[in-house]
Amino acid sequence: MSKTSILSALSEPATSAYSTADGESDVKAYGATQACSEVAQEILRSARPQDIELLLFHTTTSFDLEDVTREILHWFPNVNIVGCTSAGEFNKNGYGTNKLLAVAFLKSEFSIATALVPNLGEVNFDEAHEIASSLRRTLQSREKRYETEQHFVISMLDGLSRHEEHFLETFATAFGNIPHLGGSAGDDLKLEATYVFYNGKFYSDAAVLLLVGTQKPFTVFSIDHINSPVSKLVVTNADPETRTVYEINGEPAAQYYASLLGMKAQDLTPDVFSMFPLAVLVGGKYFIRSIQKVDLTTNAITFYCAIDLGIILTFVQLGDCIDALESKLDALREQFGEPEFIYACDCFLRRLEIQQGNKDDEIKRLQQKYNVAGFNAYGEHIHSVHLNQTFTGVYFAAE
Amino acid sequence: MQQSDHSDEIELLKKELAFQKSENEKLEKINAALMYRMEEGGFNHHSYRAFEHSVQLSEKVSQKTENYSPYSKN
Repeated sequence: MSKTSILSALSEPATSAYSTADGESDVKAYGATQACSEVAQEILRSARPQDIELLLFHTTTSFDLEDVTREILHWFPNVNIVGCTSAGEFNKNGYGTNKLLAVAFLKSEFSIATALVPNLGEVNFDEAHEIASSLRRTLQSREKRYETEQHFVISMLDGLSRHEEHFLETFATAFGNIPHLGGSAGDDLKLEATYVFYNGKFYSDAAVLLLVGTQKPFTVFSIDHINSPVSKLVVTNADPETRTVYEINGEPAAQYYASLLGMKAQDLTPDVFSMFPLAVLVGGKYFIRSIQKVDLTTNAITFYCAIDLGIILTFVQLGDCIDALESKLDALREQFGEPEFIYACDCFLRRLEIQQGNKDDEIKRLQQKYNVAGFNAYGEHIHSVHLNQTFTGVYFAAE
Repeated sequence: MQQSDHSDEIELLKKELAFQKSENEKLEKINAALMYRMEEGGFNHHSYRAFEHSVQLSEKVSQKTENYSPYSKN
């Protein structure tokens, strides 16, 4: 058995069955059955199911989610399994899409309690405190080592629920000063439905919380690569409930944003959004507010995060994504020691940005160097803040 | 000839007036949006206010976790 207490495995991408052009051979479909079998066998080569404290997985929505449920439960009987759908999956083998990633935390060094939070828009402070207390009690009652462990929280939630800010603020006081990271579920940029997985089922309009205890050295962190502000724009007409901006500086929003780039509104795509983001300045720091989509009939821009009438959006210039990440990880290594593993929620727009710059090999080099695994999210969470276009994760140092 | 120059000038002034009117309308919209934000924005729409509040809370957690990290070598 391996000495490491965190294992990860990444499947091949989903494919449909097809015949080759010459008609001589048929290519078989690669679906959830094969993907779950592949990642399970890789993990189970190093650990038995009874050694696993928690299995965390992220899956493309290209796989049939009923098949994923059946297969993941089959391979990991009696294991606590949580997860969410994603917009890209990665480990040390580089960025992927249409794949399934599984991460196993072993009992030897981890104690993990989990909870499902349904009805995201309705959760209140009392419920949040009760859930947080319940998670603490679960670990306390189960683990003698509770007092000597350090703790952090991982959250995953429905990435199209539009309740991230409310959810994170509500749980911020419930968890107090416990470090917190997380990500919002994706659906491969389809923008149709995103899900979290808990206790053998996929749920929408829900979140999964993990209270993780370990004696392993760790730190929770987040990094963006905003370089400098370029120009200021005022939101002059918006619907905050749907996160839709209709006018910027008194002009139709999509048309205005496109004109700043010397483009037409119909040319606006996620690739463009990833390269030319808008941000807000709060507490002296810029936070990217990622664009989800534009509606050409109304010239409206919809965001992945909260907006409001009268807020000032700043057109920001981005720095080098890879350099910023490498500098951060090098600094963490200096501060906490050699890396064992990084679990990351990495915005899908960063992947698009990196892939447009043909920097796949560079990010893979970092993913290998630091043993990074995680998923491309529709939003990231750090200490109660809902972020966009960041790399947010937990760094585990080798002891 | 002089009359033609004069009508050209009037045409230019009309265009300039239309442009300035349009700019003024935009500035009025910006003023109205900023005034709304200052006076009501923090209360009417919970989500953005929640985000701003979370940033403040997060700063405190970051400072505490950085100051008291048991694993930091520095």
